[in-house]
Amino acid sequence: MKDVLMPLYGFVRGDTLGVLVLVRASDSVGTLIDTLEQATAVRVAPRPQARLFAGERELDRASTVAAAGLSALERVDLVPEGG
Amino acid sequence: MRLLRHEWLDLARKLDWSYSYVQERSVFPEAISGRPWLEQAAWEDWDEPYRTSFGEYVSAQHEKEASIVAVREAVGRVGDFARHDRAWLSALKLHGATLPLAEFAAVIGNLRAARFGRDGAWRTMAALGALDELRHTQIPLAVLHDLVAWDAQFDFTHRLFHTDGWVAIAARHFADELLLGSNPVEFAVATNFVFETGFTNLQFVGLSAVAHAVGDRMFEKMVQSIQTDEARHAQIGGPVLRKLCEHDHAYAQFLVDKWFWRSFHFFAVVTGFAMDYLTPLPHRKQSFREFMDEWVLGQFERTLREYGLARPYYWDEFLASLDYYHHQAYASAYTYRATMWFDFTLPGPEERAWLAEKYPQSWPEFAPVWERISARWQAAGPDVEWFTHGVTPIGFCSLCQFPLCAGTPRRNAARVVEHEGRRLIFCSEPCRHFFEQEPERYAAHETVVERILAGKAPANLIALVRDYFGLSEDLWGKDAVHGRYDWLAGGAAPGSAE
Repeated sequence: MKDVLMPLYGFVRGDTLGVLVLVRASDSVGTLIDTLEQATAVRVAPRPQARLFAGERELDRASTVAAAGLSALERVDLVPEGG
Repeated sequence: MRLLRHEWLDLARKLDWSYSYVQERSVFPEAISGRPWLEQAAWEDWDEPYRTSFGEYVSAQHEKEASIVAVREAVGRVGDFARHDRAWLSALKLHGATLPLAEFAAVIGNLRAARFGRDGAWRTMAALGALDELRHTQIPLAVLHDLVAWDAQFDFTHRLFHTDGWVAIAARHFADELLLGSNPVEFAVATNFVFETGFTNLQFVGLSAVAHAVGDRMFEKMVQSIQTDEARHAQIGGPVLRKLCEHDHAYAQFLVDKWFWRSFHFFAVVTGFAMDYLTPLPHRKQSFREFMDEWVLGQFERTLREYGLARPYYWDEFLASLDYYHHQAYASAYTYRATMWFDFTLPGPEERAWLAEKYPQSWPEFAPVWERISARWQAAGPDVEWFTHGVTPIGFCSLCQFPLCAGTPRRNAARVVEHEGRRLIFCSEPCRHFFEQEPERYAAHETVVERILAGKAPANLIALVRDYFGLSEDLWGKDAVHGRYDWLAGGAAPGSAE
């Protein structure tokens, strides 16, 4: 599988809008979380142990974006520990 | 013998006749005149209360023009504008950009009704409406013209609609459908009834009051003059809607539902920003929420009941959004201010206390965002604009083309939908719903994100702003005082920035 760049719509709890982030299919979910936190850091302080969801499904930090089943222009939600 | 006014007026104003050489359906094709298609006899009782003759129109408009010229001579010079707070000047830039060319598009919508409206009185009023909208194009262009050489952002204000900035894309998407793409029936319901009667006619009342409080007599006079025209030609909407309710109630409800939602988004950004953020605090009379409660909601609900229509199905979501949407949009816009052509103010402690009082339910969710932004200003110091600015592209709704700002900070309302092999995103459920009702109207349009992914627009934000939105560094929006707030220097804003 090609290591394609994948655009995703990211929403961070506490933020005021959705952002577009680009990650590689081979990137880890942890990298995606970091990317989202950096993209929204101007409005929302990064919080430790944030959890990433695609719909109701929580994504494993250690998994790759591809293995997590994400596809282009999907919505992902970053939620701090404890909601 | 000279006829009295009431004896001749309708000969000129409400003139219709039976066709001998052509079919009525050929004179008024449904595709252009709108549906439901009814024979002229069904429209004979159509009327509006103003019953203005052309002579009366010209006489009244002449007086209004003379009044505007006089006010402009007295208080409409560059020096008069230069005295205003920078935030208020941003409100002028926002209105000056969105008003004139939208009004010009309304000329075309009115002219279509002046030819293809189904009753003579409707066509007459639409012809006067077209003349009104020409005024509304020319007055703000004239009033703000001298400012072009004084402030480059005022120059861009006049150019906005001709660019591919995201605000221009969203404004065109709305105005093109509302004013250029609608047949006279939809135009009457959407523009005259929902947008003008429901929103802008009252908005201008509120805006002129705000302008008065700010001391901007020129803007006050301008919107008052425009409002008196709106109040008249908006009367087209009611009788068309009444006829529509009699013959196709479901379609009437659909048009009201769609256009109330679409109008609200546009209105919330333009008026919500102006009332809750860009009007200097000492001059604020009421919040956007209070204005909506007092001026829009009650009368709109009452009017719907009079027509036998229900409140739009999303009413609860709409009411909730009055406490959130424009706050979400303003905080987002502040942190993407370089994508716009006017400057933004950072709400200080006193403004935040006012907002907290006015929005007790929602403000606790926004306060941390402003604390975060303030803390970053404190960490970076004045003039370091980019430390309080986003650098990542943002998402835009596939219907309204506004950023994905619906919902709340706790739960953004955006939703992804598959449409004929294409993945779309909508800021809210109603935007999804209305797209899916008429996909043929909207599907060909590309959001800014789709343009980026197709290689038509750059993904790098600075390149996007400079090369695609047409905003050079001297034009793009900045913090109004570049972060030099006394309260900020004093460390009044809690929060931390790494």
